[in-house]
Amino acid sequence: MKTCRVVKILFRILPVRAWKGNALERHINRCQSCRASLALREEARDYVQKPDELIASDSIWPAVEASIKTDPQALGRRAYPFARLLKPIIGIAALAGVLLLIFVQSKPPRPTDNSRPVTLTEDFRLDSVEAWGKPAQALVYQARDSQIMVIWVK
Amino acid sequence: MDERVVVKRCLEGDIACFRQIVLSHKAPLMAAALTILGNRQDAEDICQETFIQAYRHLSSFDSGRNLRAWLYTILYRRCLNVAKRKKRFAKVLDRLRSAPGAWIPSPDSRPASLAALPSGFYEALSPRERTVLSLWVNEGYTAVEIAAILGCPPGTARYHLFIVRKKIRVMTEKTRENLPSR
Repeated sequence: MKTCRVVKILFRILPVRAWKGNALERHINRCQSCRASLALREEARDYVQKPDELIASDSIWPAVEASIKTDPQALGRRAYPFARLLKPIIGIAALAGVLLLIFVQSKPPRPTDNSRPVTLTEDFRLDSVEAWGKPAQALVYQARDSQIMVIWVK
Repeated sequence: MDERVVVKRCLEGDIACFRQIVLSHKAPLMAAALTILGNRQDAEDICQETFIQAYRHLSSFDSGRNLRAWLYTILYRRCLNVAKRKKRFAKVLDRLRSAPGAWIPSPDSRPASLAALPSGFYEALSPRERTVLSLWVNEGYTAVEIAAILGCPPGTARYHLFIVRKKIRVMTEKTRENLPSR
């Protein structure tokens, strides 16, 4: 099959079918050899089923009618007036969600009271410890980033 | 009767009017389904389903649009689903057939009524390309009209049409070359 080199290049360089189609259309209108390499409508008739030659089955309408009659409320029941808007709405909502997520993630964490380091001298003081009525020795443990304090008395 | 009036009367519950729609569009839809699927039983089922779905969604039909093109849109989507299902099923069958000791008869999906279509047609063209071909030949639709049915940009429809016409030309030339040797 003789094909113009332009067509081969177009097929190779253009990544999207729609672009290829539009470029091909423009090219074929000018290129005689490319136009000659395409089948005409008359030629293609042998490759499709033709409605006028086809004896369409008579069973189609009875089956359709039976289905409609068994469910008379079917007419318009599934018509969603906002069905066309559904896709754009979902798209906008998804985009808004992603933007919100990015905004939340990019925000630096605000220092809270909980994250403030506790200093023993400020909030906690132990003057004396007694165990079973006798003075005892107290040991105070606190992990560096924890607010839990363990007091060991002996 | 004007198509808009027929649709309006259908929406008012006149089943006889819907029958008129079915009778006037069933042959072209059946031809398209047969070209796409290559199986009469499947094509009949798809046509029935198309009309039932059209009846259910008739209130969403835009009266400014061509009714047949709208029916073709429904038909095309259903045909594509069937073709995908069949492809998956064929893969499973092939795997089973290749298993040792398994015997499964090869499916004869082409009834005798379709023998008129040239051999190699179903192998050479994808379901989408067969749809484009059927719409282009039988209805005389342009790439823009085909794109609206397929739900793709007009450029994509042009691309498919180009590929289909090229393949058909190749098949025709091969057939011509083979003729004198017979």
